[in-house]
Amino acid sequence: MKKRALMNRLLIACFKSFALLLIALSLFPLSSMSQNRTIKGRVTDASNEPVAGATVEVKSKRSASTVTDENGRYSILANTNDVLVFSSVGFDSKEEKVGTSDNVDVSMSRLSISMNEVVVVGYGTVARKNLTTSIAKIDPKNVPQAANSSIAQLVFGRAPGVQAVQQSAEPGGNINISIRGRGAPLIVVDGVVMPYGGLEPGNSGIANELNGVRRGGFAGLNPDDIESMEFLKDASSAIYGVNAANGVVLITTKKGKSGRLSVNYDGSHSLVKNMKYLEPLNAAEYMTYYNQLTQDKYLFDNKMTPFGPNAPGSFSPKYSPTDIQNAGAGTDWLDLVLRDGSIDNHSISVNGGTEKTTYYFSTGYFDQKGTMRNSGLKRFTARMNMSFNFTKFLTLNVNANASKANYLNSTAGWQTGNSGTQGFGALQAALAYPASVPVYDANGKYSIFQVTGNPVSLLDIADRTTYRSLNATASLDIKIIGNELTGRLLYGNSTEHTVRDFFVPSTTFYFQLNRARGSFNEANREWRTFEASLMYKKSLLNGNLNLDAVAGYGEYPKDEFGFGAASADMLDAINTANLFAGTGSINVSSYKSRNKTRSYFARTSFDVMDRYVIQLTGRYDGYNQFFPDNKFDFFPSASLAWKLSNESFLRDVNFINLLKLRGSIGITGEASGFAYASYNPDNSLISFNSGGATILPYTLTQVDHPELRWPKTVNKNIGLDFSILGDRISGSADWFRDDITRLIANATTAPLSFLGTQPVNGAHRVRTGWEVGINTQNIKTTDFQWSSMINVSHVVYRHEERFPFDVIPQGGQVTDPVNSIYVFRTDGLLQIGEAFSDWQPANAKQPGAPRFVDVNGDKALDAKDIVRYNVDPKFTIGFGNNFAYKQFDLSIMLYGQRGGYGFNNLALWATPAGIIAGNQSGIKEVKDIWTTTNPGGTLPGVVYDEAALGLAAGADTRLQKTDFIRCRNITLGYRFNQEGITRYVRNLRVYVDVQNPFIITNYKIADPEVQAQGVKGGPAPYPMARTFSLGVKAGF
Amino acid sequence: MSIKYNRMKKLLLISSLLLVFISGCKKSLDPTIYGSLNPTNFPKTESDFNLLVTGVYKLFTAKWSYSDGGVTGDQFFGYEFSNVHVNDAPTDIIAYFPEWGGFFDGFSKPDFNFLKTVDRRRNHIEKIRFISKITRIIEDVEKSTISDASKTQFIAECRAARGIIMYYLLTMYGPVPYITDASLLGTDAETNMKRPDRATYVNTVADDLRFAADNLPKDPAQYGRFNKGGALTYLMRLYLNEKTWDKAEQAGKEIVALGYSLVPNYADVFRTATEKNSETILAVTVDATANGNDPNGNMNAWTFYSYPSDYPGVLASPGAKRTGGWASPSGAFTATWQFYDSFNPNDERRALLIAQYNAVNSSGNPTGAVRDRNNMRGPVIAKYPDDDATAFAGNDIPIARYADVELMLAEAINEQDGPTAEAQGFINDVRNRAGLADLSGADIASKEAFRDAVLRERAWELYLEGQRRIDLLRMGKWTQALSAVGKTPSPGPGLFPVPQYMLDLGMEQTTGY
Repeated sequence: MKKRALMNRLLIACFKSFALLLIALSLFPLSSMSQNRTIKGRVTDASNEPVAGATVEVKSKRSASTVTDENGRYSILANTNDVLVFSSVGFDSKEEKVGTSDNVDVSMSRLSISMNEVVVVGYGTVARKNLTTSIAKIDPKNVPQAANSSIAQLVFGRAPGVQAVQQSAEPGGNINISIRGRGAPLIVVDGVVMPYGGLEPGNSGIANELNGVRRGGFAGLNPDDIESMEFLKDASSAIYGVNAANGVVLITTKKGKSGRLSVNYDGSHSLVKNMKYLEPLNAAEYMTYYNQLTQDKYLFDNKMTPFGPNAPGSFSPKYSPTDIQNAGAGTDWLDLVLRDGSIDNHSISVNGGTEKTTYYFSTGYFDQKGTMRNSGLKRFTARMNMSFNFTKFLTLNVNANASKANYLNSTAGWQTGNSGTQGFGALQAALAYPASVPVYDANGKYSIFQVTGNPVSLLDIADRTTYRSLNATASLDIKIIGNELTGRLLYGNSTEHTVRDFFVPSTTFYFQLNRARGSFNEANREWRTFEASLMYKKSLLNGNLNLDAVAGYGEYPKDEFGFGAASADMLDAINTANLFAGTGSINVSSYKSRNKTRSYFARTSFDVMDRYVIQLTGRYDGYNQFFPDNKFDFFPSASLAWKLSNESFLRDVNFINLLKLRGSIGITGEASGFAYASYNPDNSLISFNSGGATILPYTLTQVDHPELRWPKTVNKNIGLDFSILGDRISGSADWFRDDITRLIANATTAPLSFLGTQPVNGAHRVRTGWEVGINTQNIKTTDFQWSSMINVSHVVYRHEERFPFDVIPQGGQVTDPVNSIYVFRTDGLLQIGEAFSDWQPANAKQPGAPRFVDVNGDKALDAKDIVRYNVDPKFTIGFGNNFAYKQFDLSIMLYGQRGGYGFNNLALWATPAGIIAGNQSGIKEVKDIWTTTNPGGTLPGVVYDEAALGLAAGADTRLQKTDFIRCRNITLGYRFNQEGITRYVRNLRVYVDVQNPFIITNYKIADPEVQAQGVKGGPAPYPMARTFSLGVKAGF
Repeated sequence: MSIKYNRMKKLLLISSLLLVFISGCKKSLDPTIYGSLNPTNFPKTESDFNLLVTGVYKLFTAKWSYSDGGVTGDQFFGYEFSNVHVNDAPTDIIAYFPEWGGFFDGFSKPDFNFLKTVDRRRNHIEKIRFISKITRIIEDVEKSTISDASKTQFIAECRAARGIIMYYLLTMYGPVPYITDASLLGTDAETNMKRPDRATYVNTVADDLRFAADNLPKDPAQYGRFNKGGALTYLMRLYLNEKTWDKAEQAGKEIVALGYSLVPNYADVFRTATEKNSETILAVTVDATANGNDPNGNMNAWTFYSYPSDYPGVLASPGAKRTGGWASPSGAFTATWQFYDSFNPNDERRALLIAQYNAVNSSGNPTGAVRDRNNMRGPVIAKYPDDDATAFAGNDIPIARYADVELMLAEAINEQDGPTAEAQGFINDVRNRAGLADLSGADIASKEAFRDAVLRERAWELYLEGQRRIDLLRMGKWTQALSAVGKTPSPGPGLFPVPQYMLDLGMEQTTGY
């Protein structure tokens, strides 16, 4: 305790003296302001339209600045030798010497790829050319937004080193964003820490399996309100020490600009059609294959030729040729569950302001009819960003974002528990029901196939989630000394509230029961940010040394709590309106938690002679869940950039506009884990006397871990930024290495420890990789422009050391990549009469079983023959092209990956077991199953059961490459001429957009991006969809 | 001057704002823990210790699974991986069941090799941690300030649980490493995977069960808690397994002295209405309204496992028609025809094996098909009929009953003194209840013949109660009995292999693997 208090006191003292130093520095006299005269002028864009709200300042006199009016006009005090700097969002900044004229007109060119663009960094901004670290940026303006419900959808393929992986295609489904292949990044919206993950309550387990909603985060933000997204990939994130181990995503929302009021409308209507999905067998096919497979099974069970010595007996198939002939196509179950969807997306924003006040208001409406019946999303968002200049030195910024989303959760996916076919949701059931089964039985009731619920009746399950969020931020900016020393106080609050309302009517046969089951669950999450910071900017030594410093203090409490109740056997009409009406047992549950981090942080950067930029950051973080001696830790970083192109030996090389080498090293941490011992109630009651006496036992779940401390990641990065041929080609390349040490995991303990797992600091993992991003202006004429962007990323994430009691998979090495698949290789199927090798497993010696490969040639099948495959792709790629011809624009965005492997769990619908057991139908690929009547089949036959082999690893029969190239968007737009529209409309653009027009892949059955877990029976992930949109963007 | 004055004012303002802000955050960064019990406030009172000690029953319930400190596992008396699954499914009385593959295939075949790669979640070997856990609880109780009488009661329950776990582990793997000395917890001893010698292990188990038997009441206030008779039955099973016949007999006689007797009708032992009776010594007492999941899990799901899906036996909800269990075309636990045929047709115990029925569809309506010996893998085991109008049944699952004790006594006496009248008396008591005559002729002619008779009797009396594999191994009839029904056991002495990850930690593989 003493040590901590001392440390705190020391730190506060440090910061006090730091602040004093900054204040002292600022008291140096400002440079003289003699001989000033008024300079006037007009700022226009390439098409001679005025640029309103552009900043005009006198170089190296940051205090002297103004903005252009709605006609692009400005006036400023300057003297003959001064240089004026013109800058505006969306434009390249431009410098112009004042000279003798009193009128300086400037034409600015639109920013596309420039190195002058401003990049948001932790606690500040910096021009890209001065970046010392690896930061990727996505500008949402360049991303078609029509069908987007989430910010995460802006990410696909658009930034080097940033991956977006679709986890679920359901409306509002989760998209995992990762930076350099790490886990969930820290999300900071306008300086306020926001949760990354979705907030989704369960359903109290009342319907056992229908719990699997995979909801994405960011739900409260409207993608249309986003000005920019920055991804801090390397030591640049160290300034966020706490929780920055996975990198940081900085999101900046649109702000108002002083100048005329402007109104923008963005609206679109989209048609959504499912892409190719699993194709079920029709009735005749099902009967045919059922007969074939059961015949083989009969021969095998009775040890008849070719599976045994006995002569084939007479097998009587279940379906006669007449049955099959009369069956036809049968019921198209999938069609009864899926449909075409639609999306309506409208946002309207108003922004403007005066010198005293600027404002940005927006409201958005998003309505998605899901492509699975009974699924959908309706969302309303509203945002307000306001800024008040009370006095010359006080500015109050108030941002607020409110949202409400109503989700209809489909029962797509798979059983998240471990049940079999009785737990199938509607989409699974639609694949499991043979087409020969009619929707209704002879009595007009839903027909029931085996123990699975009728797909159509499962659509009656009402699973609704209502999500509400309110994010509010207030910050006070204080100019202490001009623009040199400023202070900021910030309070941010992100509050989310979700309710899940779940009801299975008694008319739906589910989990072998016709029983009314209902639940109500709510979840709440509140994250708060308190920060106080001082910023200091100063140009010294005639502009040869530019200093930029920030120091601050922050505190970040996080609260979560929730409540749920469930009951059963109420009347269907009562539904969840009165759970107490349920005569079945009523269950309640609740939870509550809080954790808190406290931080001291500082960053300084020195730009020396416009050649060397040095940046140092430090963060001292405390986490309340650890023991006093280990609560705090220090996370420093240092980075350096060398602008080679400004050196004398390159200054005269005309085709090089920028050449910059940079390197960074820094440490980030992760506030996770809990170090204190606790006794907790068990999940399950112990009951005696046939339930007459129940006791909820308590158990010691964790012992004290005073040694537990912060995980630590050392980030190293070397990069090169370049811009050549008059900025026609620009880009950056990075190489990095992360060393992740002292990981906290609930790791397996010693085998005789009474707790199976405990939080432990241990293991060491290494992530290395490189990424390249290049932007080019291929053609740039007055009428026609063509620009491209391409990025390629490569990451390897591997173990260096493991936790002490980690089990290394058979055939694996200690230093294998973390995401690995270990399998035995197979090579085709054994044919009838074919001799099998000595090493063929005992239970796989029959025709139709895969041939196992003895990889090392020792004539035995053991751990040495296990082969490792990478789950992570070797590289991911994003490739975009923008074309503009006169008023037309066309953009095409592609992304893809190569070199990864995965188990195709959808192939579980094409295994004989389920069909033979008679509890599920199958998909078209069933035709490829090897049978005695189909000896050309490529999928293992009825004799094969991998689980029965007892091998140390699985077989590779379902292993596939996950390579693909997907076209994310093709967008064609038309911008109306200014003259062509009324004077009230400032600009107008109409566009058509196709999302997911095509995918190129060898992945079988369905989409490689849709993830499906292996379950008992087969999984049925929500289908990927193709979206056709028609949209309009207008400014008034 | 005025500029400077303004600046000073501003500085004052900002500094005071910052000070207010920082001082507001100056509180210490202590953890906020809601609703947590920690070693400083728990356990203190007798009722606290009741909450702690009752946790030792976790493995002895009948729900889908339990979770414990990150290790999830199966109960001894549930369904999958239960004592029935590991002890009856592999033997001659239960048919091979390949339909569900995996461990169902492995256990019923039997081929235990799959256990080498089964994960932690489904490996009974992980229960060595539970031994340590009970050791820790006993230490907590001993250190406490509660009354001596309560201490003794709590410790007796703990040691009964520990003894039973250790007995089952012995029957599966042979002697396994364990910690019963609390001072070794948290030390390197937790990584010592050396198997103890058999005598040491057995003595430890016997000490636990002896202590429990000496200190537990015959009838605890809450029916279903460990009791004197239950502890003695496990002690007797342990001695029988070790062929320490005299001690087994002694323990058996102690049980006899407690005054148990057979109920007149065999089937009544397994019915909800008569689940509490003079014969059942210890039972997993379950609740018809429970569903196998948290929090209220303790149910009987045998009908779902032992009935085929077209068997008219399960009542899902009140008023509904009876439908079948989960597996098709045969139940997951189906008797063999050989076993069925081994019964005397007059044996009342055979009536719980259904050799013929009229199939129903999933709505409970007859399909017209008749299922019998021509199209069934074996008879349906209907030992626990669905007596309740809820999804799962409420029939208690007996784990120690007097008929078993009598048969063990007959065996223990025979092994020492041959088929004496006393030994015959015990086995005949069980036979007479089932409607059979006394043993006679060849069966009582020699020790060996009598031993065979006891083994047969045990199968008829105790099928689906988790005894058969242990019986066959003890009497040296494992391979012989299995080949009689066409099963070829996997290598090994009928014990289970230790999973690879335990071998990597230095544990010795079970002999024969």
